[in-house]
Amino acid sequence: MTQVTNTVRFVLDGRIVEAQGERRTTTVLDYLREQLHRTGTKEGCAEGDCGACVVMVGELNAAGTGVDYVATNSCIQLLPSLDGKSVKTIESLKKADGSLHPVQEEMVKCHGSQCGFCTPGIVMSLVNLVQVLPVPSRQQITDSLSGNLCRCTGYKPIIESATKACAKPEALKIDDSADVPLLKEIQRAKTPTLSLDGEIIVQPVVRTRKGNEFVSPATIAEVADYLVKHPTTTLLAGSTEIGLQVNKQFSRPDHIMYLGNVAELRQIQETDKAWRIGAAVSLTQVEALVAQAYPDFTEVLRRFGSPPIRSTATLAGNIANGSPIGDSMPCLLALGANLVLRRGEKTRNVLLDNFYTGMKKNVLEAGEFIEAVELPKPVAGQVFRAHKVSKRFEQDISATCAAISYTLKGGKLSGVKLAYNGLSPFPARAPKLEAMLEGKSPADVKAADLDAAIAASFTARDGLRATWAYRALVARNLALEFIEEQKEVA
Amino acid sequence: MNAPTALKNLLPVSGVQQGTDIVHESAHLHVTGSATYIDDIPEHAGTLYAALILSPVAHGELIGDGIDREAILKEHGVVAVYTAKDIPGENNCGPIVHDDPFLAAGKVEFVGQAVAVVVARDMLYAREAAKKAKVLVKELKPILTVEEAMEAGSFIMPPKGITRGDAAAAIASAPHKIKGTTRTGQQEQFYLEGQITYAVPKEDGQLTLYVSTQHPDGNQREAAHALNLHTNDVEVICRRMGGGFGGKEGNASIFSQSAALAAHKLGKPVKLRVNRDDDMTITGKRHDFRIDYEVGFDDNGRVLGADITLMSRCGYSTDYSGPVNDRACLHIDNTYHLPALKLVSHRCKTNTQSATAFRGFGGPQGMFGIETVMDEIAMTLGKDPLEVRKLNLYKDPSISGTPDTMTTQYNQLIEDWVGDKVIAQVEQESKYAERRAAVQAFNAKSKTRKRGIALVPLKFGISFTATHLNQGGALLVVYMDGSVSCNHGGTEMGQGLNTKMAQVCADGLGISVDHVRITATDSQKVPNASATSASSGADINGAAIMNATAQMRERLKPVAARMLGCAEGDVTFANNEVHGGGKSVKWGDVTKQAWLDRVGLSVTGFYMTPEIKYDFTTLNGRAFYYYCYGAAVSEVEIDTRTGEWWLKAVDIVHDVGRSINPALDKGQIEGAYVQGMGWLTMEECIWDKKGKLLTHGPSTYKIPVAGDIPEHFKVSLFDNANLKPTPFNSKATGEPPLMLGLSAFFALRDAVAASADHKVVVRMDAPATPERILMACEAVKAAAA
Repeated sequence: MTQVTNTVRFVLDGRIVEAQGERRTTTVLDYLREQLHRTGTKEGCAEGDCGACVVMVGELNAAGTGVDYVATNSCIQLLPSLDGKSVKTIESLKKADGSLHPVQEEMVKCHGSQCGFCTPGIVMSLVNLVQVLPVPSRQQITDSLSGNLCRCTGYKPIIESATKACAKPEALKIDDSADVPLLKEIQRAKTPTLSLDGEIIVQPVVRTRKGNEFVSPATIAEVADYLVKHPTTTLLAGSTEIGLQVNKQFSRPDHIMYLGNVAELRQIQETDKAWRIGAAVSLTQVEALVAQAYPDFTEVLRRFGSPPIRSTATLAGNIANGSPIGDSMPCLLALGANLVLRRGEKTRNVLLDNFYTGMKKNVLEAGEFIEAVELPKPVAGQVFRAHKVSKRFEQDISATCAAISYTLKGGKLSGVKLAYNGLSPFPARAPKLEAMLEGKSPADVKAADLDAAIAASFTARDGLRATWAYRALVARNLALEFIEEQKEVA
Repeated sequence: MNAPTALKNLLPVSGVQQGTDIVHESAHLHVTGSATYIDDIPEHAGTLYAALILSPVAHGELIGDGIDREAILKEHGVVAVYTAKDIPGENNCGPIVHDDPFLAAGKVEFVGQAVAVVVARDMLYAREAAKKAKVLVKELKPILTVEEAMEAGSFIMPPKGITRGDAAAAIASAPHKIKGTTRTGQQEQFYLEGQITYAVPKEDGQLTLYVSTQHPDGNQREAAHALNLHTNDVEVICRRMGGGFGGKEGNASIFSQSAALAAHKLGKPVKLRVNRDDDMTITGKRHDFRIDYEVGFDDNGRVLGADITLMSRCGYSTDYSGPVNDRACLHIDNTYHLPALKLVSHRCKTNTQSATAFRGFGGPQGMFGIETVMDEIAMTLGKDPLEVRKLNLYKDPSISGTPDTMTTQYNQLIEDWVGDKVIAQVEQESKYAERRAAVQAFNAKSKTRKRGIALVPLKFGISFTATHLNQGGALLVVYMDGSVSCNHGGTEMGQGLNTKMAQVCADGLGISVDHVRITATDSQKVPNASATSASSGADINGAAIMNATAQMRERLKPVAARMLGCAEGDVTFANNEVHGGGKSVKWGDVTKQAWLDRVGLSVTGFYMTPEIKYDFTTLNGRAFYYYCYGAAVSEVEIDTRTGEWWLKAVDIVHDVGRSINPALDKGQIEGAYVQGMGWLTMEECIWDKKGKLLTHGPSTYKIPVAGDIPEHFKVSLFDNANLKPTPFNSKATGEPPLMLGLSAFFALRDAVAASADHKVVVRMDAPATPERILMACEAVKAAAA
């Protein structure tokens, strides 16, 4: 094993674990199972899609008085990103008196486990849910389980056990009082380390003998500085993509920079006209942010992935990855989102519309990164609609996702911005369709005209998730639905 | 010892355990994460890790060994690499026909076939080396589809068929005819715990294999044969699986043998745990079927004659494809009497994974065929499909006036028919007529959303179609403190077998279940055990345990009679006591006294299923000991613009006989319905043009999640004692309810039909993905216009 320096420190059930000698790409799951012998957490897929590996990752809350948790897929999270945080595994629920957490107790009573392999992950997803939502609705329960596969039960007794567990609100919260002081003790520095010359030194969490590093800076200045010095650095936020590359391709990037500890990147700033969403803001936060203004966007984000995915994944990550079926981009394109790009001290603004140059290619220069996404707030009369179509509603990849924004002026469509994913090498607006719609009254829009514009706009291409014929048909039907339902609103 | 084959021998002794909803014996371990699966077993020092090098092509000749050994051995951390040439004995993991090398020999026949096993110090190193290794192969043209195989005459075995009456004449003279083709897709078992074996060498060349397996005996024998050992040199242990569903019946051998080979060669413990992608790429799935049908029927929808051709994609080796396709033939009738039938079943050999066992084992595919026919007849006549289904049900000859209306196409007289009663109950419980009217009212008003409803019945035959497999064994051990260890040949994969077996064992000794520990399945405790499959686990192992407890009672009776001062014949066992002559002694005191009296306190139990007599070459005779029945009503809503759909409500009535444990049985039924629904709607295996599976993980292969389950999901057990002697008159529960999921698919067809006012017959293959639903809507709308 490659020799490493420094130590990953995290809190586990009232003690500090110091992980030494681990690869920079060791996953949290492997570390828990192989080094700590906490084998209750399981590997089902190693791609964040089955939930058998769900644990709770905690951070000291803003006031420093308690711990905020998110359910996390430990299989795709890299161990060094845990530095300064705490972890709760299924074993953490064990109490000295042998009693079970209400979720566990009801899972037993309701016959919620059969083969039991998915069960620890399901328990952890539900325990995480009831930390903040002591009386969840059925929909909130199923949403919390959208990333937990069970092949045996048919889920009915699992949903039932979650409901019943909440009848004991006093026992739902896990006791983490012993963790709080320890979390304070291992907090990462909030300011950069400077050399005698005043230059920033980004301290690695893990550094190998060859000079490969995992760094976890606290400030944008460090991020910018490090990226200029190491422009090939892999940026890590939600780890939904990198985790897969590590597990499936055995990827081991020379330099990995985790953005989750950069306070400035985790902020949402608000002006009259827009939200400025930092690159490390989670999709869960964005969901809440846009729920009132753009409910369809919230629904697309809800269906983006399971809570463990959404609580770590970011808009900037989705954008930078640039997948042709990236789900946030059609919404952001239709809403005219703007990106703040930064290299060193310099920033520039680029419309998302102008960001992509090809399949998984974009205008980012070496050493440049997305600092924030600026999302315009709705203007009076603006209609925003979006919908994602996939084989399964939850935690699935789009056949296509469509989004539109327009206003009705005198009954005519105006300022139409229509965007899709899944139809082209990168998510993009559809100018020919927009031009066809612009200035028309919704009733005058003909399906055949949309079909012609779609045929003229995209290269027909059958894909793994859908044929072109289906995608084109859905693209047309969604456009029709988006404008038809607004007839009376004008 | 005679097997207990009489009804009285299998009735509960005390009755306390019958119908008791006790929780799964491992539930408290599951929820705390302390249930041990193979990968959780603490490793021995010096454990090495294996990974498989897989064929990148669907068909090819290996050049030399197929790998560059030297190059692989130079990879970081690699200790050894083995190919077929390193196998001292037989290179086979084919469960029936020995045509299935576990490491490719000379040729590769599908993308993902194991060519070599790499062993390294670290799992990551082994996997990296395996991924990096170049397979040396001369690529040949593959046969990938059923059509290509039919064209090329590529079959794993000759076709079989059933002929009843003159189907051609009946169809020719029928007032109405339909003719069509439909298809069902492959389905991945998707057990949450992937395939894994931990192989540990023991003294004198012996091996212990910890395998996640439904068939320890198969793994044991095959490993022994591969390594030129005797069967008694190899022990296979499986405490539990994280799901099986048929996927660990034959498939586990690929992994257990590779690990056994490496451990045997190196004399070191070797763990082989494949990741999900390799697991899905290597292992076989549910057979996909093409079903061609031509059916003649009368004005009411009564089938007069049917000509049906089944073509299934079996993959590269025989595997279980023989009995799977046989079972499809034996279930082409489902609950319907087909007066004239010409059935032909083609078993296509293709360069794809070897399709294998999966819950239902061909039955679901056969039933899908006939249900498509029933649906299409109804659509053709403009009737409610339920009416046509009812009209075609099996009927007592005294009512129908026709002698063979209670006899299947394979000449088995159905003795336990309750299909009509089950349908009537679910019709009533679900308020089918009311709901059908409400669906019509909704559809009349709604332009883009349409609803559909369907009631689909099922009849499923219970027994291994290979007669010799219908046997079970048990080992019962009583300790002097009265605690009991019970072992049987079945395996626990989540279905709750061990819980039911503990109940059966406790009942037989008149003690509470907390006295009984069902121990890990171990090939050295119960030998030559059949796989836990064909829904037979509780029947054959339960009967064997009852045989064992009966023997144990006989041994303890003289001891107790002396203690109680009564006649041996008066001794009874109940409530943790032994009674006789108006007195009682504690169970534990009797066992202690038995030890003092030097009475042997271990016995073996055995059972063989009687009566089955069936010719599998002609598919004729009594194939099944008994049948299970069920029926489900599903209601769905579709969006005719996107093809998206929602499952609105499910009502089920299902026959599990006299349930040993209704809670566990309901859990099986709910899970099976959802799995069947998943098979027919969202689960889709996709291969590229060169035969590479593209859907090899849960990111691309979608099984149902919690949000797909409707709030109204009601399961009732049909009150019905098994007429045949089975433990407590229960019936098998594992496979049959999977076919309840058919109702979701046919509800979707109903909704699609509604998008064109039921004017046009719907053609839609499974799985009914949003794409297929939308395209089917477009097709019926175009045809109706």
